Amino acid sequence: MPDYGLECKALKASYPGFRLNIDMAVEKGDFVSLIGPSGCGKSTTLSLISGLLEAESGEVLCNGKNVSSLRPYERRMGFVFQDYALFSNMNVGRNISYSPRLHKVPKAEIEKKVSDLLEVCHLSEKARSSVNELSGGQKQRVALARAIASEPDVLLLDEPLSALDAKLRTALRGEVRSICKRFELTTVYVTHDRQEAFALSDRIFLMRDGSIQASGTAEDLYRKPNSLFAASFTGDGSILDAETSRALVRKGDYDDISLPGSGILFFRPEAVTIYENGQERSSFFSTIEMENAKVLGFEYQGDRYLVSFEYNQRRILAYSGHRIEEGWRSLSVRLVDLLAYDKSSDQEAY
Amino acid sequence: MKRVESRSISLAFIFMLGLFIVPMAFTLSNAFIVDSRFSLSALAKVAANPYNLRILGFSLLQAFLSSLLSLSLGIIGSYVLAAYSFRLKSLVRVVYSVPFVLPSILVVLGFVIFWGNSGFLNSLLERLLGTDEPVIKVLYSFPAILMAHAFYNYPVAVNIISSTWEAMDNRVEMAASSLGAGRVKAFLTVTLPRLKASIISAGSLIFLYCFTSFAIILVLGGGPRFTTMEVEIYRKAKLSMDISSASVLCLFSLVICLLVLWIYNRAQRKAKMIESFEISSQKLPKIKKSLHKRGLEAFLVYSFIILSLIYILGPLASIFLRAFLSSSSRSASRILSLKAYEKIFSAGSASLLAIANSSLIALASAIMSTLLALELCAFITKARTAALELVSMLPMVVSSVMLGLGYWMLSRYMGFLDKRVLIALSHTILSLPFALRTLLPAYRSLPANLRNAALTLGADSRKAFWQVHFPLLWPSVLASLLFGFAISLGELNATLMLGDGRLVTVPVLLYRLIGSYDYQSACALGSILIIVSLMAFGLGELLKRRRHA
Repeated sequence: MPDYGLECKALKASYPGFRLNIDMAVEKGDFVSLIGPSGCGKSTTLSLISGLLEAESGEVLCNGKNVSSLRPYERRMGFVFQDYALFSNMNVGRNISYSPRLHKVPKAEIEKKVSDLLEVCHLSEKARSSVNELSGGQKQRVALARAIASEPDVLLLDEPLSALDAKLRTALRGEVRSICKRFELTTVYVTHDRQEAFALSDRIFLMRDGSIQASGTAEDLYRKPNSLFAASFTGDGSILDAETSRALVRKGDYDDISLPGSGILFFRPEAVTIYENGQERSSFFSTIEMENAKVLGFEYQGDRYLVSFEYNQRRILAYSGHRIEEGWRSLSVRLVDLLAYDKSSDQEAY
Repeated sequence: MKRVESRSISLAFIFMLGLFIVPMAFTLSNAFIVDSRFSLSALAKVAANPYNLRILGFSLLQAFLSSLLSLSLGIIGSYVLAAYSFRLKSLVRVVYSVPFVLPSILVVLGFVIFWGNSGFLNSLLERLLGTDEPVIKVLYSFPAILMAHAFYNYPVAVNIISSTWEAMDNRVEMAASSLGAGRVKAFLTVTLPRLKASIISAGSLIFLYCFTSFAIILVLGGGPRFTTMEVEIYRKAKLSMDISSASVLCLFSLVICLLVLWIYNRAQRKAKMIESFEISSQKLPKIKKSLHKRGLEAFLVYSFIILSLIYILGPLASIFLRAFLSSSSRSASRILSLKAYEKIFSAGSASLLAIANSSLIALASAIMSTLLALELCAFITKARTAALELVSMLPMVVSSVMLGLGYWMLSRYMGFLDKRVLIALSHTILSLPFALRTLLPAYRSLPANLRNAALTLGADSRKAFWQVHFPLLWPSVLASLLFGFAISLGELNATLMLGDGRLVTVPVLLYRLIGSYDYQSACALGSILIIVSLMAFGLGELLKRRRHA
């Protein structure tokens, strides 16, 4: 059995019009992300884990020990807030040393710890600065260092970078991961940004309407999402109706795949090949062929173009190496790249 | 154009200084003049007298303890308002703002009627406990002074402290909690230090109010045992005719007030800074605890709210009620009657005369202080130095007793002037800080180029003001008029000093009626004063808010 740093077992809370029920397990030392649309209960989950909110029922286990009945200050869980929540009445150094001072750690040890953390967080010159003078990125580093200084068993980060601008966000996220890894912390990182989650996490938990919908590595979630919702939340893609698509199948020589009788078909833009109308193509694999798709527009992404087409009143996304501005094209998707879902499951995701 | 204008505006400044500095100079100069020659002997004599030092010590002690009591209650009240959301919260806030606008003589009256030995609270308790003895004997004692000061200033503390507390992000306390601090520890290490500036700010302001408190000490203190500087100044000047000692005491008192005002000013600026920092650094909505189904916590919070409401509303409600109760001569019981109101509104009654005097004085001083404040606003805004603003707030430090003493000394050289004119002038100065505080923010928010536009379009300075600025300012002008009216209407101290007992205003009459134990008449007249004061302040506050919206 794996060694879990954090486990939530049927952790429940309810609010008017909203129910939360969380089951999740994080291996010791793992950096995991909790992602999901806004209002799905990500931040509430963190508050329940830390004890800042009281759960109605369920258990929180920290390194195998049940901490459900402990007060937040007894749980040994570091919490980093979106708006930093720094102590404005203390300077940077005293913010960081707050927890060791509370716990009466010997003075020399505190000083050593603070200066180490300041160095790791690139804040060495700021030890005596007022926290009010810091930039957003520096503030968040102080908040992180302060949480780590408390030697938590689990570190909880609630959208820590969302108040920063895009460039700083990208730069800082790598730093956050490497600091957490360096201290071998079991970390739960809440974000609504899937790219951030992809970039940082060992594992990702996808939440929706108060419960975990899917979990796995970034690759798992992107390639083999277990629902249409998971598929669409983890990246771009297009959908087709399985029943009406049967007529579009061109049987390949090499494989023997067939379409499901009903449901929804999902595929990523990279699965789509664009042809000129009437262009010859190989018949090696079985494909769905969409003739005469209308070009709607494109987005230049630096290394390629994301082109959107209209076919049978559906929007189809595909990548292209060059600019396609208007006209009609033929699109081809290999059946092996299709993901099939029940129609009933979550049509509304699209 | 510029030269002409700055001259007329500095005239307003000189006018204000004249109304304030001249009487103060009159008062204070007497501290240094013995037998029409400069001398420090009066100063030395007063300072060497242990009786005076005891009074000074007691004044400081009662102000300190009153502030401590008001602050302690205020911190609890602010916590309740900042941390919880509950029904009727805005109503609680409105009630908390009531004592501040009540004339002090009404607080005295309310306390006597509510807390007195045969007051409402004791009658109730006697009936409940089945005894004939008053259960709470608190009036005319040191605790009564503290309680009345807390009544007045608890809301001041709540307003100032909760304004900062509510701006503060309570995620900071959560962060402390996640770092291992329990509730008490988090409060002491993280919350309290950030509140420090506003607590000092509230504390120093309350200290100032309590140090210069007059009517409460005069009546509720119950005699020479609990005398403060203000009362002693009044006693020395008016009863012992010892002007030079009174002036020396004024000087002592003024020095202390200036010191406290300096502390207040510094703390207030810091508190405002912290407040705006807290607001700017907080990006998420505050998490407020709701008070549903929380056993002990909800009980404690609601008990505190209810007790504080009774504490504030009890004395007020008692005044309204007592106005309809007459003592029947045959038994101790009381009967319902309209006697007191009939007496007030009978032709030629002392009350009607007092109401007429008060209204006349209040109207005149409201208009004068508003006009003066308007002119000062233009001057202060243009001059752009904080010093001027501070100077204009100076009348705050000077107690009304001191100012009254100055005007009274002046009046001996101006026998030709109607007393009411001098009283109105002194009230003008006393309400000027309020008028300025109302008008200055409004004036500052006027678009800078508006007036310039009018000037380039052919309006002269006067016209530009009346046609362009005034229409934008009028809600604040009206608010300032209302505040000025209400302040003058309730002012007792300066009037008592100046009036020589011959001129009767509503508060003076109230003071006399309390002194002669005619509580029913006092309450009837008091009810009218409460209603008018609350209406004027309430309407003024609404107008002030309208500007912000």
